[in-house]
Amino acid sequence: MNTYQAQIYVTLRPSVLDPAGTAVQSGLAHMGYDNVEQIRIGKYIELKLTATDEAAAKAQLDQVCDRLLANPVIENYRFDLTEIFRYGRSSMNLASLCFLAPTAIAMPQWSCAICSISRRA
Amino acid sequence: MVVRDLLNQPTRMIWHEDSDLDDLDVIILPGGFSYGDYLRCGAIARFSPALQATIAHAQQGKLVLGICNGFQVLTESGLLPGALMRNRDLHFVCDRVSLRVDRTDLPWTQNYQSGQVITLPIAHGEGCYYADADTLKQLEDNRQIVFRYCTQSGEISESANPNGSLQNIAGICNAQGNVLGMMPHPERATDSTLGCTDGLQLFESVLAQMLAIA
Repeated sequence: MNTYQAQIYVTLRPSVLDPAGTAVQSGLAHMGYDNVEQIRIGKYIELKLTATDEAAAKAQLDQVCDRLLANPVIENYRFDLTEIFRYGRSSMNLASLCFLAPTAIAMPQWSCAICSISRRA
Repeated sequence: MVVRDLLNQPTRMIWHEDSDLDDLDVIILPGGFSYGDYLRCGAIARFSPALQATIAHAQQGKLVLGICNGFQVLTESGLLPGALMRNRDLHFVCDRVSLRVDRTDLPWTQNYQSGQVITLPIAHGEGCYYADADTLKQLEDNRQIVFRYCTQSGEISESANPNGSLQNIAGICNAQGNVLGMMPHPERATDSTLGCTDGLQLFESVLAQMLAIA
């Protein structure tokens, strides 16, 4: 099983009014930032999950978003998915091995949980 | 309280883990907050065992009433279309409002007159009803809009709309009419000591319906 880090963005559908966004926009205008427009406030959700491969992880995330994290009546969602690379059986996160750059660069896809750098295939 | 003490009907509370609701004729989802209303109002309550059993109950054609947070749970669960969002002005609104009863051929409203203007309390921060244009058209075509916010004379206007709900929608039913969701609180207008009794007829309507069946 692989471990993935997901970053999920839930946003209001364009047809839905966002009174909170409008209020924040008028706040910014009062501060003098009157060149700011179309503020839309959404939600950002992070989670980790394990799955056999990226396709399975994406399929499950779609389900989770459709069923609970977003309400399809009023919201859209999108997500970024990154595999968290674990070194062999020791389950050591690549974070601790960041200085082994040549090894890391040879891997098709990895991320470092500490310095938050990543490489995607 | 209303059904037990004013209508003297056998009533029991349902624990969120209860999944056996076969003995019930009518399920009422009250207002308040559920599971902290995290994520969205009613979003997590939807997956509780009691709600799964309530969905099964509704699918058998039995009666389900959702008031305020209960209405939000019903839309989240898909028993009613649309969604309830933050009020237009972002404020929690606690007030008494006029409502027009647009449909009186339902078990819920048969004791009202069609077009009757009643007064009920509201108390919510997320009561702005939203649905896409197709869904709104379906609601209108199927006469699923049961209560609308209106002026005291029954006029549907933006000034009488406390939360920005589309079409001034305060309460809707499903296509079959056995599931009703509404933001106003009929249970808080059932005794003259509460200042208003316009909500009592809703519960009396249901009782009359159940007696007629039995």
